[in-house]
Amino acid sequence: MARGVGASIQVRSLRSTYNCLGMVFANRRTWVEPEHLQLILEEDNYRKLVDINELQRGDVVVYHDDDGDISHVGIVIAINPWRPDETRDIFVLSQWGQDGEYFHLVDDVPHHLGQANEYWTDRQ
Amino acid sequence: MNWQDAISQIESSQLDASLNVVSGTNAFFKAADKEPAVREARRRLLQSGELHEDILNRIYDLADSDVDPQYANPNDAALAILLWLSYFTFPDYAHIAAGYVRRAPQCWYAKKLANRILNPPRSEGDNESAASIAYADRLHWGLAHESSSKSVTHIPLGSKFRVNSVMNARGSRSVTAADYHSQELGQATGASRVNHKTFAVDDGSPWSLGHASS
Repeated sequence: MARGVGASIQVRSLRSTYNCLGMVFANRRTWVEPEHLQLILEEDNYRKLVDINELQRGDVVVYHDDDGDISHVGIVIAINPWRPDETRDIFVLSQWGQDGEYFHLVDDVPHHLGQANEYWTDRQ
Repeated sequence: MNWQDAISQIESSQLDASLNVVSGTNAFFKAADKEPAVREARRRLLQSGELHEDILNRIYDLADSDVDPQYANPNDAALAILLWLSYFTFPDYAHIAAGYVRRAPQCWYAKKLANRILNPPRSEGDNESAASIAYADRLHWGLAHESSSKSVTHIPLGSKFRVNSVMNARGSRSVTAADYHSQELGQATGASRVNHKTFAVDDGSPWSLGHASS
């Protein structure tokens, strides 16, 4: 059954064993507090993308709240080609807190999860 | 919004669903702090000492309710918020409340805060691991400090509330605040926790760190 915000689709809902960081970085095995994200990115040799055109499937999108604190992460699953108006759809898979995993447009998240404003990759 | 409305909203499944999408403990308390019902409950708690026992009793009832062991505790968010409210408006009761919450099964945020209250960090390493709950702490100190002029903290002797003996696995009994001071807390968390803090008046910012003095 599909439900969610806007066109988002809930694809699985397990117990609240893991959160968004746990899904992306810990194989859905544990809950990782967002405060640890910077350390993970550094130690796993992720680099921040400076050119959005570099973005590929499997890269990580990082969301921040209004205060600039890390509020959410997800994995880029699909990227549509650019439109003439220089917009394009980026599709993301992410775990929303304890609620479940959602397949959604990158900006289609509850307001508590903040805004997508950084992309990181482990491609060298 | 009156007190009952605020508590009803805090305990509602709507608020639980809204807050359960956040990604971490700090984010949870940050989001909770923006909820009108939470702000209203906090405002009333800072004004009236009588409501502290209401909070304690609500926490007891929610923590004691049956939950399906296959699912997360549906009262997790409410317990976390009520415990947090107790923590930063009446810290002495918060220790009892944290004892109730720690007994509640299948909780996440509520249990993290309860553990934080009952086992405050004592070393640098502990502090590091407690960073994830720093927001709850910051607001705790900030608001205790905000309410300083009202001299929070003294449990009126002779007042009665239900408290679950830590020595018994289940069941409740009625004890007085004097009992609490002399026995329950001492046995549960060490007598050193029973302290009556007053907080220095500062610039009034709820986010600034207050200064505690005995």
